[in-house]
Amino acid sequence: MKFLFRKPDYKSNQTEIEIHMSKNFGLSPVEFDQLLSRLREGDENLFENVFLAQFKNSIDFLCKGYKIEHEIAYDIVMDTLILFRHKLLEGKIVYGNLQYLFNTMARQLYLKSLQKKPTTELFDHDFTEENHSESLENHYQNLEKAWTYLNVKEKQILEKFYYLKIPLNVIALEQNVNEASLRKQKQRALEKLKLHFNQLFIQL
Amino acid sequence: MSAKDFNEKQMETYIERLMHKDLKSKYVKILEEKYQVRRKSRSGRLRYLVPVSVAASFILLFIAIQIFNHTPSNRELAMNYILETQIMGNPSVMRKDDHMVEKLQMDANTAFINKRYDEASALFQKLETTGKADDTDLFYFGVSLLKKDMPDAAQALNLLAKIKDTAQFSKEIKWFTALALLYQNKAEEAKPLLQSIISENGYMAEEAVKLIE
Repeated sequence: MKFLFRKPDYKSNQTEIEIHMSKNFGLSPVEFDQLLSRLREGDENLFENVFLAQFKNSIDFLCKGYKIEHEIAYDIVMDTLILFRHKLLEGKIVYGNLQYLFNTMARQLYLKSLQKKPTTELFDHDFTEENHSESLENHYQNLEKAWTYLNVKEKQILEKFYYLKIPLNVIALEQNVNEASLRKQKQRALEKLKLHFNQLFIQL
Repeated sequence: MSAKDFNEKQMETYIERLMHKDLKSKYVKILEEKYQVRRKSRSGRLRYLVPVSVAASFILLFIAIQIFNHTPSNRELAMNYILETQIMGNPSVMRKDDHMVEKLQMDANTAFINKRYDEASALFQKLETTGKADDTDLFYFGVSLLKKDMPDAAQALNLLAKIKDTAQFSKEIKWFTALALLYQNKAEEAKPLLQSIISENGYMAEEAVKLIE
């Protein structure tokens, strides 16, 4: 008979929150917002503590669900994590059922890998019209070499602007510098990178 | 795609990929150290193939050692790294107010860009004797001397020492000086330079770690 009684509201609310959190890597909506804003500021700790903690569960999910080898599942989950992080920064992921979304993305990446498509295509970038993987690989390698010619400050500006998608005026505020001068610094860093990249290209 | 087509959008893509590569390495490390999650090697048929191939490698290595009784010397190691290190040529010619000198500089740089290091070093040598070679010329001269068929490490070291305070090439100068010293079998003198490269954690830091090991 006791099961017929409704539980008090506060407990019901608590359970609802717990259910929500369990679907969202144990994060409450507030914690999720904090994670995201800290991630945008370059603080990786919270992201690493929450998502990397779930890494093994996601591998198990793929291994059991698709009977695939551990190393394949590991690579897929790693790619999913990077993609997930990317979409978080782009603001394309909202709080709701993050766990389900993550697993869905992992599943999609796995299915795409079966079609032998490189996972990088999922980032929706228009690489080149030719799209020769070997030639692209050479470009990446050259860029990696060219990147080593930048100093720490130049690398930071480009990383924040191009990768973390932080607007220049915000970076300028963070670094307590004038936006126009930061824009020039960014441009110079970009030109330096391009110069070294192009020189490597000529040498090929 | 040619170098000219390279646009900002692609730069964004490349930077993303670079960052992703760094992130992956970082995550792999955290996963191993904090969560004890490692990428397990392939099972199935390869489970047997790996130990067999490892055993085969050891046997081949043993045979090779027996036959050649050879381990790479400092000189060979340095030579490998000298040849592998890519240095972009200098396509621009600084005005020297002397047509002959400018032509000499252009020819030397062209030879360098085309990896004709013997020719490049001979031309840079001529340029140096005019007394109008600048630090950039001397840097490329030094590198040519190391990269040519019969490297001249002693002359390269003299040149690199002259321009060691040139900010533009400071990292490269340090790296090539270390390699030139190693080529001369002066490992103890090369070591502090390699350690300094490692501590800066930038240009050639990973290669320096491998060399010190």
